[in-house]
Amino acid sequence: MAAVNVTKINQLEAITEALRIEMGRDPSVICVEAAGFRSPVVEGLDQLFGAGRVVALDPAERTVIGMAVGMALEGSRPICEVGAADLASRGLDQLAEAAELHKREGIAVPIVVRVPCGPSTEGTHDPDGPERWLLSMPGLSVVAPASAADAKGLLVSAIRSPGPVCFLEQVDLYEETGPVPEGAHEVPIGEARAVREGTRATVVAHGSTVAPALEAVDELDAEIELLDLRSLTPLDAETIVGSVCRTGKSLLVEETALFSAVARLVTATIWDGAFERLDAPVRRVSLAAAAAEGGDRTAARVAAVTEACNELLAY
Amino acid sequence: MMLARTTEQRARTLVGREHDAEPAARWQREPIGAGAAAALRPSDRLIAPGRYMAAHLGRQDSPSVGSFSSAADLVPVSVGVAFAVGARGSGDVVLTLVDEGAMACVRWSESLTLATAGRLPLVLVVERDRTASPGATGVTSSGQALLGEAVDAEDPEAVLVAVRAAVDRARTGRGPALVACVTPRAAPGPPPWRRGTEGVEATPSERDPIELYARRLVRGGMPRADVESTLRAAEDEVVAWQP
Repeated sequence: MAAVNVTKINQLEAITEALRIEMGRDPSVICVEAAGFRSPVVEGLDQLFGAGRVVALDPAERTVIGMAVGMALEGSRPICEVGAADLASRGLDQLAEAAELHKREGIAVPIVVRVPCGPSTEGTHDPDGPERWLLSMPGLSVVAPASAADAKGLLVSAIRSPGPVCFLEQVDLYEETGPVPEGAHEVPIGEARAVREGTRATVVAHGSTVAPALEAVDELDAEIELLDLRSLTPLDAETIVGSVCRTGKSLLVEETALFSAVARLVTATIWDGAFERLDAPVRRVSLAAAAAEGGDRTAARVAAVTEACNELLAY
Repeated sequence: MMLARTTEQRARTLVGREHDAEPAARWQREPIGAGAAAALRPSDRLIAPGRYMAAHLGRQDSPSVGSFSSAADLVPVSVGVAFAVGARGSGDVVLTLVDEGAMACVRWSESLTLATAGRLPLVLVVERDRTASPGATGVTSSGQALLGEAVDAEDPEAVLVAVRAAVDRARTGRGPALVACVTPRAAPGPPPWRRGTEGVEATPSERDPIELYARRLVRGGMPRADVESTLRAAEDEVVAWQP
């Protein structure tokens, strides 16, 4: 197998690189930006590929997803960006219809909707996250990368997907650097990743909760397995169930204060596939409370996961 | 028009609703659909809800998008298709059929603004209730009026002529255009508070556009037997159709 060169870049650069590679590979890939707003993610792409490949629509807050669907029906592969709050109030119905069109009619609707989200998206942050709206749409794939490498690989896969994909990018992770394979790098949608292997408990995280979860389980060094979901729909039920069957205990780590759509989905998956193997109830820890306590936010988030892991191991 | 009528009747029979009242509001969409679709060439795009079945049946082998959403949401989709079609420079046109409810949301004006600014090859055919408010027809979010023409929705030839002119305009790069097909509402249809009183007293059979057009053809010199055999042939085609 040929060695893959790896470079160290941050997640924002990884997303831009995925766009650059796919726009270079496939002339039907275009970026569609709404409302006189130029995302840093698409900086320089119009100079590389021409203005016709980075389309600025103004005004289009309420129409950008519908227009992207129209472009996709004509053979383009549009990638648009919609804020989490805008998606909830203005774009969900159009996204649901695109997903329905793809699933029910079997028509290719290759659109990617990038959704910058997370606690740092001031003014537009939905405290329960856009996941609660998105996970109940048949035909829609939802991915949430935690690392720069997965951001690049999942975005490449999303662009190549025949159906609509929502790409949840955590603004808090934009500056996080990590090793990213150069050139074409795909991460299949629907595959979770075992970040750390263990036998005593399974910690399930995604997006911005993966880093504090990893730090906590590394510090504990207690044979805890950590899964990064990466793909929220389709969910990698096989990996989750397989892990919980081995460990007998599970902890879900979330940003949201309330029991989220992701937690409901993962919990139901565990109950369905691993109930007989459980040695403890499925537990959940919210990092929202840790962030609200003030002080060192990162340390508080790690401490919250550590405490929950200790309680689970002691059950 | 007859294909659409018979298809819908057959569909109602298949789902056990053959005794439902004849939906006169749907009848009025037959001349709109048939007239508008006849103005297109095969490579043009049609985007319309399924209730404009006459339009879809008139273009069975041509690129069309049916109803996967409310009419209002088809407008931005149409603009997206027009954007892609226009970028290719093929000279094709996108035709969208919607009812006036689509005009009551911000997506309508946003879409029109984008289509007008980009001089996109888009024609919007809007079914308008004669009793509706005479307010904005084709006004963009920036207040710019879109070129529009109003025709009688019950006259398929009038629809054809108006839509053909709009399509020609869009095809030659002069931007989007709008055709308003003005229709009297007949029950069943929108609620009374919306439809007013005009047209409500008329019985559906007197307003049947197929019957009206058949009489018109006979008056124009076409033998009655030929008209009736054409109608029967359409019925036979639907009955003989197998998936």
